Amino acid sequence: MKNKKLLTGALIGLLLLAGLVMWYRRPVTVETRQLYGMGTVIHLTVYGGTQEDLDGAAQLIGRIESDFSTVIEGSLVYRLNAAAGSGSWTALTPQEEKVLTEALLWAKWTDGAFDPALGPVVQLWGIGTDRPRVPSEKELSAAVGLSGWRRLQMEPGKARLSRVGEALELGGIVKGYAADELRRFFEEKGISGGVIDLGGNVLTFGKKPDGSAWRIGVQDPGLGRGKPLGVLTLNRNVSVVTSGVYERFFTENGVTYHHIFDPATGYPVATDLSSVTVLSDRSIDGDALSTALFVLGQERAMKLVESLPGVDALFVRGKQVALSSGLAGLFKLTGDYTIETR
Amino acid sequence: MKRGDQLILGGTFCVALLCAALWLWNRNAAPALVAEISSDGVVIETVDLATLKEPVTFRIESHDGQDVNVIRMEPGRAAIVEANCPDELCVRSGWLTRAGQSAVCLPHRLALYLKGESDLDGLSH
Repeated sequence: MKNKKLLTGALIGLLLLAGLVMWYRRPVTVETRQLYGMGTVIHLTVYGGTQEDLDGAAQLIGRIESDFSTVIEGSLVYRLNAAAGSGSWTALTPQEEKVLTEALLWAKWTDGAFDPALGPVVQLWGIGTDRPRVPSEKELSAAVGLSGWRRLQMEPGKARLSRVGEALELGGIVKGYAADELRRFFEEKGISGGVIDLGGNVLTFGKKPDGSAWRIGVQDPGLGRGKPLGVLTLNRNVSVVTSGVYERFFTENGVTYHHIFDPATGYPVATDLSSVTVLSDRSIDGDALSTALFVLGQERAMKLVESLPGVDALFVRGKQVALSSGLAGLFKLTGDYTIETR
Repeated sequence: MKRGDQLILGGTFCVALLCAALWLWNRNAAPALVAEISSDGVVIETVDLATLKEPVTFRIESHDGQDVNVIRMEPGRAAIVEANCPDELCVRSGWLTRAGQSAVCLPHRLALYLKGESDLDGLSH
């Protein structure tokens, strides 16, 4: 009699246990949103979030874009650029001051390889618009003469450009800033994890439902969109930003012009790099750095990366892939490339 | 134990096993390969490429008829095959065959995206 009671108890216990396990391992909702913003395609994935959360995220993206776009009338950049040379200061909100300060810090740290004041040069080439063209040497030298981060004057709460024709272009840092803000937004909503993809700038946060490592691919510069040359397996949340020549470019008279300019000459930087991928805690850093490292070229860039704690990078040159020391064991090659040994 | 009790207990146990089995089986079932066309961020067409029998062609025009993209879907693959945008980058993306791949026509705000079980959480480009 006692044995049968024990058996009954055990079976019921097993049933309860099974129920509990199934409850805890129940599928977490996955919600995704694809939208256009900041001149590119944005994919948002959230675990344990709602479409309302994604609506909020879309609105946040819209606000950031209308504040930092170069072309949207009334944006900070538009107003600052329009007031260049007038002598008047433009007031900054705390967020605007933060973005400009970070941009200037990275310009200083990379000795101008990342430069938020290349507006005159960028506008001249028109890459990304429907009328890109190769400017004349004279036009370019004038534009380079008006460009440069040192021209941005900042005082607490305000900024100005001192000469007519000077212009900010924050395209190289705004997506990074936006990704960090989106992460904060989702975390404040209590969303347990997700992936923010702003035109290929990837930022993960929280945890995946099954708690496994994030698998982030790196685009193969030689193949179509969506085809990786390798995969990063990451157990921590990290921003992965890639700068490459293969997406924004135009061809004139058989010559291809990409969109990452050498601040010294105003021409697309002469390089054998196809792409640079930067891993960092904050996406604003990865965004600015990916441009800077591309301009610096692999040798100088690798030295800079190795000196920055918490930052790692992957370089693609021809069929060679080079990794900074922090990526050892985290990257698996899947395309027909070879890893450079150093 | 009475015979009736045995039956009830045995029956409950079997039902529990069945539920667990069904739940496990459902979790591992791989979703089909689905092609999604979205215009201006809104999904306008979804096609299950895994169960598609005959090729399908979609001609997508903007309201004023100025922007045109032609999308072809065949069993297991899809592509933007024609477009009258300036750079035709979308057409050059070629055939999409795996989940996570996409072809995007930025000037026309049109995207063709393959969904399914992809082993990547993101792709940095």
